[in-house]
Amino acid sequence: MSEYVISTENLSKTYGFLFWKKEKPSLDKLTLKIPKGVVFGFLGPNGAGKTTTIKLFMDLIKPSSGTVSILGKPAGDIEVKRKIGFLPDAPAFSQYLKAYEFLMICAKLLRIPSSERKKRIEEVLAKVKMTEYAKSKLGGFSRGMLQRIGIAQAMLNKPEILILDEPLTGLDPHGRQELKDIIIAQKKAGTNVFFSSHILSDVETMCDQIGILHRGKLLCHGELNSLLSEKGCRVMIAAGKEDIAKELMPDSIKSHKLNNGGWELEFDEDEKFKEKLNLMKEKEGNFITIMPSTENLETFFFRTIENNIKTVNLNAEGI
Amino acid sequence: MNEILAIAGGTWRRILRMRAVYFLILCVMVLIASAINYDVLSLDHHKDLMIDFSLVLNTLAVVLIVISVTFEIPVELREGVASTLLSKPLGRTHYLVGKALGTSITGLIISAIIIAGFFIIFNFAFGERISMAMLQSHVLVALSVIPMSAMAVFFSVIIPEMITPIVTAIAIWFAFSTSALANVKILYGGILPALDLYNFKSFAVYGEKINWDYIGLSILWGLAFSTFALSLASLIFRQKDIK
Amino acid sequence: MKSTLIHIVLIIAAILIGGAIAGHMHEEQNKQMPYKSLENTTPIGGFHKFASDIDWMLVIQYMGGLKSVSKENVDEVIKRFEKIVSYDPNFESAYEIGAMSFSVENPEKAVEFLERACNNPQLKNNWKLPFYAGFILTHSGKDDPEKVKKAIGFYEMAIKRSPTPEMYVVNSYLRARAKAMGLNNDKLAMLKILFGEWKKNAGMREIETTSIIPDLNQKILKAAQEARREYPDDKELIEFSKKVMQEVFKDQHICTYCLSIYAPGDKFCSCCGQSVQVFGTCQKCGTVLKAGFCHKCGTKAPAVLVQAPSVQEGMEPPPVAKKVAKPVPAKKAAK
Repeated sequence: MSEYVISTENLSKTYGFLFWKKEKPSLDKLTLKIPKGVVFGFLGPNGAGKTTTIKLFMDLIKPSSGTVSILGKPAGDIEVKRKIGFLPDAPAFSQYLKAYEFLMICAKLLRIPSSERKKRIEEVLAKVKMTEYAKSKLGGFSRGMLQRIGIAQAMLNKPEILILDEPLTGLDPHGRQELKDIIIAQKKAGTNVFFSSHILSDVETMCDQIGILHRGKLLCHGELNSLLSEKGCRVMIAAGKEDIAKELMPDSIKSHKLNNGGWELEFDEDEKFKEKLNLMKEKEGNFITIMPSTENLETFFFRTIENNIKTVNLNAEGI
Repeated sequence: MNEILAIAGGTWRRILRMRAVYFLILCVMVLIASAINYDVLSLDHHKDLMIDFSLVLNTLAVVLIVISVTFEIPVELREGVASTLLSKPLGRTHYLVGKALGTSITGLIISAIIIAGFFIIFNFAFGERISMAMLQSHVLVALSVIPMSAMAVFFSVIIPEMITPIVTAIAIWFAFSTSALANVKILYGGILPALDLYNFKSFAVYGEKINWDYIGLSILWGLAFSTFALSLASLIFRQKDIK
Repeated sequence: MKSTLIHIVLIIAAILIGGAIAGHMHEEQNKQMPYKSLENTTPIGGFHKFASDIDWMLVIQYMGGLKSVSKENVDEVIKRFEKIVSYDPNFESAYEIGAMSFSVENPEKAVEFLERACNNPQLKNNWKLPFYAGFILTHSGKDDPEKVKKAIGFYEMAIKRSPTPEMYVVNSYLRARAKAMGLNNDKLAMLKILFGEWKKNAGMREIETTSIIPDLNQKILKAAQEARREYPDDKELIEFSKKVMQEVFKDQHICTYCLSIYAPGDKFCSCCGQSVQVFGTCQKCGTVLKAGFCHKCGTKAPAVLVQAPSVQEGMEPPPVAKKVAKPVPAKKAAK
């Protein structure tokens, strides 16, 4: 049994066929290993290749090259699919079916014993708070309601791994909170969760590990805490010391005045400047307080993307 | 098998929940019954006309049911319903077989309703019980849904959504004329559909009784051809990217 | 890879099995519906029978709008009926009504149309189709021996197809054959044909007889009577009719003058009054015998009843017997 729930090796996908093949791959040599017991957040701007990656996991599309394995078996293995719960991006279900009927079909496909089907369906409907809509047709559901049903069908088989594509999209704040609670509850129950999202604040609160994808390339992945580790520092300047603030401000990346009249400046990681700061600290004493600065995910995300863009442009220019 | 039946169940629920289906059946009954009034216009051939009408309308109803699946599969692929289903432990072959099976079963049910209605109307109009030839001709029309469903699923997979229903309808139309190639052994009935084998419409009026062996063979041929069409469709579908 | 191989094997197996079954079914279908080979091969989705019904109703409408079938519209009429039977080769009414509609303007086409129907194995019990063909040929080709010969064939077919052929069908057949003989005297010709038929089957049991003409003896008798009545002076006819009576009715009792059958005990013919040879009476008391013994005197009846005398050549027909008045019994003397 593999120690990784999801493992990819140089996984690539270029859409198109023969003459119609696209020039650039939608996914370019993705190598990713996600260990057991984590909530993994998969981030990237629109068109980065997140949905493509997830579809490759689910064997909905075929890779152009590379391999992907889920729970130690190749993607598409029927036995493995029984252990996966999948929520697609913008879930769509047969409009003519009632919610209960659709879940019953899913239960049959998952080979849940007939004696347990009804009970499980009722359980998942209760979890997503859709019990009263069980006999209503899916065609009349709102986006949010469909999302809930989607989550319900994903959890029907008590999966070992939940793969969710943009699960928080389309939900109102109340719904998003409920879903976050579900994800956290699933994690506590031992379910691995892999999901993609744009809502960085939610990813930051829920995920243990993240990966950032941009233009088909995986820019970084790993533990959230290690990725967001100390990057630079924050300097607090006491009130009345505007001269110190003026001296340091040009090198800062961010600055703002505090309510007490003092200043808070943020600085990037820079060894030379660090020396300068230390000297200033020794000189000014308590008027300056230096603290390590932890980058938030959003900043980290944008910085990573921008760095990649710059790198790509430089490569394109031949530098 | 459960998976196939689950997909088939979804398909027949869809069809049987369409109000248009019941309206179609009602229209068919009315048209069949209207043949009673054609005694003068047909110089007392209205009995034959009613039998022919019933067979033609039964065939058309079956064809319409089959064509409905040419809308269903591409829409499911386009909207993402298929991706939800195929993310389950469901092989792509099973998905296609389930669609064909669901369509076939629904077609058989609707055809059976039409047949029963025709027999009641015929008995009422002419005070006669239906002959074995009439029953068997209708049964063959109903059984033709098996290869037709496979054809519809096949075209749904290989042809763009816009033209699938038209191409399927044309293919079914011409499949009644492939007997011109009956001398070409493998082509006729092997690769090309031979729906004319189910065409005993004139026999309903003039014949006495078809051998039941023939009807058994028609089921076997339908299954053989469906196996070919669905296997080929599955080979192509397995390589296709699902939206 | 394994799965792909399974699919390919399934495809090949399905093609082979499907092809074999379809070939066999095609043969079976042709056996059940042998007229299918006569059907139009236009691809209309297998709706040939229905198309024929629609065309039939359309042709009725069309014909209803015509004053008559004439040279101007006969081709259109033919085309419409041809279309109906191309879709449904078993449409009997189309053949019958169609052929009769354009038989005047285009008898050859009408006959060809009906001949096609006659060759359809599904219509092998329809006697009207060959009868109509013979009728059209007879009336359109009165002086054409080829047509008359062909008409005879059709009439024969009509008689053979019918379990109880209609009188007019048989008569039409006989008239056609008589015409084919080319004799001036049509009654003599008819008699010769009937006698010829009788001779072919003479001595055979009823079950062995090959004649298609029902009630042959009755027809011979009637033909002879009509011939004698119409041509009383035709010596050839009279001689021939005598010969026929002698051979055909040698075991029967027929008046030699008017050829009517007379009953046992009759001394005179009840049709013409000529004296006839008495038969079937008791030799002792003259009572008409009912069975093997006379019921009046008990005399045993002879094994062979008296037969009618053979007509000798040169014999004049017996004169008409004058009615002999019965002697009036003397009045009984009044007591």
